[in-house]
Amino acid sequence: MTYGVAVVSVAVALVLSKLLEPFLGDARPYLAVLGAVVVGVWHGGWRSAAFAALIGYLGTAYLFVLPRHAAGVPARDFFEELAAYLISCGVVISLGELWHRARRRAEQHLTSLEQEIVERKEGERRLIANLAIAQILAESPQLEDAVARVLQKVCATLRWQVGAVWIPDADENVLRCLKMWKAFPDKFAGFEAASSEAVFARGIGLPGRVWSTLKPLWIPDVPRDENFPRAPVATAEGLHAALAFPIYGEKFLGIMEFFSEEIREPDEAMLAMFGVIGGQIGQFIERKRADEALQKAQGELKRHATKLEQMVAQRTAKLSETVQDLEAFSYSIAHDMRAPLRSMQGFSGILKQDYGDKLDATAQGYLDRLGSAAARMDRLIVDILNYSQVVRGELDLGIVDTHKLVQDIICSYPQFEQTHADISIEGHLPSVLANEAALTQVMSNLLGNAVKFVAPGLRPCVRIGANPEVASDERAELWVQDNGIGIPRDLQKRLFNMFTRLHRPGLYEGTGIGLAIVKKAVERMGGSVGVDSNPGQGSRFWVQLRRPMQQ
Amino acid sequence: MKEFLTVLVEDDEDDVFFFQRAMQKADWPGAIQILRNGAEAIAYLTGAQTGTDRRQHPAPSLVILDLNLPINTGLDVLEALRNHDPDNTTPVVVLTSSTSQLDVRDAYRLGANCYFNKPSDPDGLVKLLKVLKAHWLDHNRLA
Repeated sequence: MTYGVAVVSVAVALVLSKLLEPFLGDARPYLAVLGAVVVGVWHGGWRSAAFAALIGYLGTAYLFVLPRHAAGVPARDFFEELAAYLISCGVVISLGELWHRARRRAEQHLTSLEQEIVERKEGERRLIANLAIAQILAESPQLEDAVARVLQKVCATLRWQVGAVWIPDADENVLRCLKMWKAFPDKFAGFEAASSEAVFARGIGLPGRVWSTLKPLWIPDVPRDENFPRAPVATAEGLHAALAFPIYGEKFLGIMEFFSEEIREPDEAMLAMFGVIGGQIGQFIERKRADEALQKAQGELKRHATKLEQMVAQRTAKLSETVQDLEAFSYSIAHDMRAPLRSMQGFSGILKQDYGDKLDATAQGYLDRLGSAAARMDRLIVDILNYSQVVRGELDLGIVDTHKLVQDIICSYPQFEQTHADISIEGHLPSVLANEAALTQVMSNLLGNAVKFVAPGLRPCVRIGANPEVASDERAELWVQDNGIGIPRDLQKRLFNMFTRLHRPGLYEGTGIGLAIVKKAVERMGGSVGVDSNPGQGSRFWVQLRRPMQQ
Repeated sequence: MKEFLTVLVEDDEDDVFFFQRAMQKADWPGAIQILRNGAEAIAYLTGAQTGTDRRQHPAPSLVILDLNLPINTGLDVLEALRNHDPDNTTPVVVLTSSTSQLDVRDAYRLGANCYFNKPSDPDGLVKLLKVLKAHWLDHNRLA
């Protein structure tokens, strides 16, 4: 070829020289051949041009120079012409060759530039895909939703037409297609059906191979691949290139595969990218699964808590109902117990009255003890009834004139009469926020104790007053001071407990409930109660209660 | 003038005995009709048992009413009596062992004329009956 161009062009040049001989005469028979050398260097390179120069020289010498100088060429002319010819040829060939090289270099540059542009575009697509996937993984609350969106995004940005996710079936140790996405909903129906029915063991088909190697795999053209069971339907529906990569976190989770309608050569950069993305998706899936497990556990916990709350509420309601029933029951029992006691008291009294003259002093003493035992028990029951009423009863608070209330108590109880005790009110007692019945109970119990617990033979002296030092806008303090036996300091804190009696039996009558009632009643009215006392120096009980709001 | 009739509504046999003894000692005049439970009392007092035949069951001059009664309580009896005939002004004396302020309030609200706790000794009951006799029979004018 190279030399063919030389031969043809030299032949043409010689014919032209022959035709133009009459016009050119003797002048420069080699000129035409130089044209052939130019053509040679243009089309065939320097070798072709050198060959053209050689055969052109020989042809010209044989056809033109020798016939003209049949007698012999003058040596000087011959060498001059040869030198001129060689220089001309050398220049032409050099120029041609230089031009050739320059062109080749330019072409090379252009090619590499084009390649770079293509690579950059691919890189950009990968970057977009990468970002899109990262965004999907960051935004999607649901696992299924995220996987579907990743399939769609990869197909759209990296020019694949079909994408699918395969996950391992733990029971059968095979991969099954979980989800498929298609760029065109009405195409590739056969491939979709084949994929949804197919299962792949390790090493079988595209998914199986990626599963066994755990590395991305690129098949340029699936119809020509040997290990691709879905090849017939892929061929029929025009799918060619395929790419698959593993999804893995702590362990293998599945694979993603993509198909193109074109034959595509492996793109190493894309393969590397999917190697990384597979890990990201895997981590995302594991995190999501952990989240879902956590949420499920939390939901379960919440359900349990709600159930427990309901149960507690039900039981509480039931319990308070039971407590109310029990209270009503015990109230009526206590009440019913008083009737036979009254009978005992009544009959012992009647016996003594009507048949007393027939009984000796000892028998009469027994009757007295029978009657007083019944009376004591009756008082105990009454106190318990009062206590339970203070504990459970409705205590509506209102403004109570304490001064009048205490005066009324002093007037209406026989044990507070002048003949028994000196009782005085100091100053004017303030009004308080209280329940009148409960406060009556409180003050009568305190006054009752004050006149009761005095040394034998001593006349009770009780003073009642208000303490202005403690008084504020919110609270008022009442006190009851007696000249009684006093209470040892270490026993004072037990004083308000139920059934607490601090003296030996028989010396003072009492049930040990009175102060428990006082404490409970005062506390239920939002107040407090206490005592200051020393043995032998009397006691001072104080009660703090809320004041009514100032008008 | 018709005979003074006292109706005692009381379920406790011992209390009935004490009452009768105390009445004797207090010289309580007239006849006494004893009714043993709330239902019986309602039937008698509202005439449900005998229609309006008051010859057999004459209207009482005074009712002495216990509150803790079987079947219907004393408060039920009081309510039935006052609701049956709003014009009925028969005095009702509540005599009970209940010290509950709620019972006191309800009794007055339902139209009781007075409220006493049962005295625990026989003499106390005699004293109380003397007071009641002086009040309702000797000094007070009945409608």
